[in-house]
Amino acid sequence: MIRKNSPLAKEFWEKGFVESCPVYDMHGHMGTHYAIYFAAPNAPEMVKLIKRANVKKLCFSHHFSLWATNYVGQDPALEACKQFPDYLRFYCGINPNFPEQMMADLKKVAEWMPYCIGLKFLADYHKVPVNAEPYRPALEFANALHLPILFHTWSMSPYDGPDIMKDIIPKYPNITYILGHCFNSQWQVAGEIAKQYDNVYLELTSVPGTRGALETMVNICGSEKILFGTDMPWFDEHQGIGGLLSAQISDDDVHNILHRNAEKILAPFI
Amino acid sequence: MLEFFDANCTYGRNKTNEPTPFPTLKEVIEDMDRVGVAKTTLWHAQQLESGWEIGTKIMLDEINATPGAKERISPSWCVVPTLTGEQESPDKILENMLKANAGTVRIFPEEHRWELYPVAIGDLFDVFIQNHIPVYLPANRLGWDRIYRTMMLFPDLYAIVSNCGLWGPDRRIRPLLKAYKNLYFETSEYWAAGSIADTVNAVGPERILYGSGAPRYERGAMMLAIKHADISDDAKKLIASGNLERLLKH
Repeated sequence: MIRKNSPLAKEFWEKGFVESCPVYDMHGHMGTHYAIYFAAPNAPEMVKLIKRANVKKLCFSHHFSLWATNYVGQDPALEACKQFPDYLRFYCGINPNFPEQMMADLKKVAEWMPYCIGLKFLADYHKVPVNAEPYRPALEFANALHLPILFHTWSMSPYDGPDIMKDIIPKYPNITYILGHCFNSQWQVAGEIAKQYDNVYLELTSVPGTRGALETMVNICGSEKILFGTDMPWFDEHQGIGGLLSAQISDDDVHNILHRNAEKILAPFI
Repeated sequence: MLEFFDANCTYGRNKTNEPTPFPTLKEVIEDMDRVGVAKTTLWHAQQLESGWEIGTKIMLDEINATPGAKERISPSWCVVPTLTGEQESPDKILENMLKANAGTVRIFPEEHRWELYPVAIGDLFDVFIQNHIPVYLPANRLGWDRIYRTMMLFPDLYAIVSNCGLWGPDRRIRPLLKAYKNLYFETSEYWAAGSIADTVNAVGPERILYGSGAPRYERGAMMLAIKHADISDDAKKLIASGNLERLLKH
C-alpha cells in the first residue's frame, strides 16, 4: 500500500486519483522523439492517460519546438492546447541558436495566452549557457511580463547548473524560476537555492522514486517551493505519484507539491 | 489483492562504506513492510566487490540469522567460470544453490574479469538452462550489445534483463522478447507513460516482472504504476508477482 497511515496514499492506491488532491504536472513534453519509443506521444492519448490520475493541467513544451525549432515553431503545442483546453497548457520552447525564430515566437507569446504560460529553456541540449548573451532577450522578455520559465537544470552543468542559475536569478527578479529536475542529484544545493529566493521553485521530473531526494529538499526549502512534474510522456504519472507517496513526507507536503503551489503559479492562466 | 515480489533489490555496505539505506537485511525487510512488498530476490554488494564466495556467504548467513527472512528473501547466487577450479563443478553449484533456496544467478563478467562466451561459461549456463535457473543480465553493467550477443549464444537461457535505463528501452527489449522465449525484463526503470499497458498489448503480460531497483529507487513508484496500468487484473497479478513465482518454481 506504499505508505501506511496515509489516507492520501490509501486513496491513490485504491482509485488511482484523489478528488480532493488534483495534480498539476508542470513539466511535460509532447510528440515523438529520436531517442525513445513512446506509447503515448500525442495529445489525445496523453490526455487519456493524465485523466486517470486527476491531472487538471499538464504544462508541456513540444519536442519539435525544442529540437526542430526553426522548422516547426510552436504550432503543434498551440494546436494541442486548443484541442484540449481544459487539460493542456504550453511553454514556448526557446532555442537561442535560432535568434530570429526566438524573437518571432516571443512576440506572439502574449497573443498565445492563456494557452501559453511561459518559456522553456533546454540549455544543456542547445549548448548555450543560460547566462550567455543569446538567452538575454528571452530573459528580459520574461522578466518584463513576470512570466514563469521552466529551465532544464542538471548537476554540475556548464549550461544550466547551480552556478549558472545563481548568476541569473538576482538579475531578473520578476521571473518565476521553475528549476526542472532540481539539478539532478545536487538535491541539497537545489533546496538551498529555492530557500534563498522567493521566486524559485524546484520541479520534480525524474526525482520521485529516487530514494531520499525529496526528503532532503523538503527539509531544506519546504514543500511550498516544490512542484510536481513527470516529463510526460517520458515518465508515467502514476510512477511519479507513487514515488512521491513513498517518500517520508507528510500528506500536507504531498498536497503542496501536487497542486497547491502550482495553482498559485497558474492562477493567471486557468 | 495484489501481492508484490520484487525482482530487483540489492543491499550491503561496499568497500568505501558509502551511505546506504539498506546496510543490513534488517533495513531491507523493514522497507518491504513499510510499502507492502511480500518477497524479494536479493544480491549483496560484496558479491560484486569481494567476489562470489564471501559475498554470497555473508548474505546467506544473514538470511539464516534473521527470523522470517527465508520465507521472503530469494537470494541470488553469484558465479564465475568453473574452469579455473576455484568454484565447484556446475552440478555441485546447482546443488548448493537449491540447498540455500537461491533461485536466481547474478554475474559480473566485467568486474570479475571473464567473458560471456560458451567456452568460458557454457558448462554452467547449460546446467542453468536445463534446470530453468534465471540469470540476471543488467543492461547498465553489460550494455545492450553484450545482452544481444549473450542471447544469440545462449538462446534458451532463462534471462532477466534488469536496469533497462530510464530512457524507454522498448526499441531494445521488444526484439529480444520476440526472439527469445525465456527472456524476461523487470520494471525498475520502465517509467515511460503507458508503457506497461502498451507492452502487455504487444507481447502479453507473462514476461514482465515487477522490480523496484531498491535501494536506489523507492519500491512504491512502480507498484502504483502497475496497480493503475490499463491492463486486466490478471495481468497485474502476473507482473506484480505471478511471473516471478512461476519462474522460480524450477
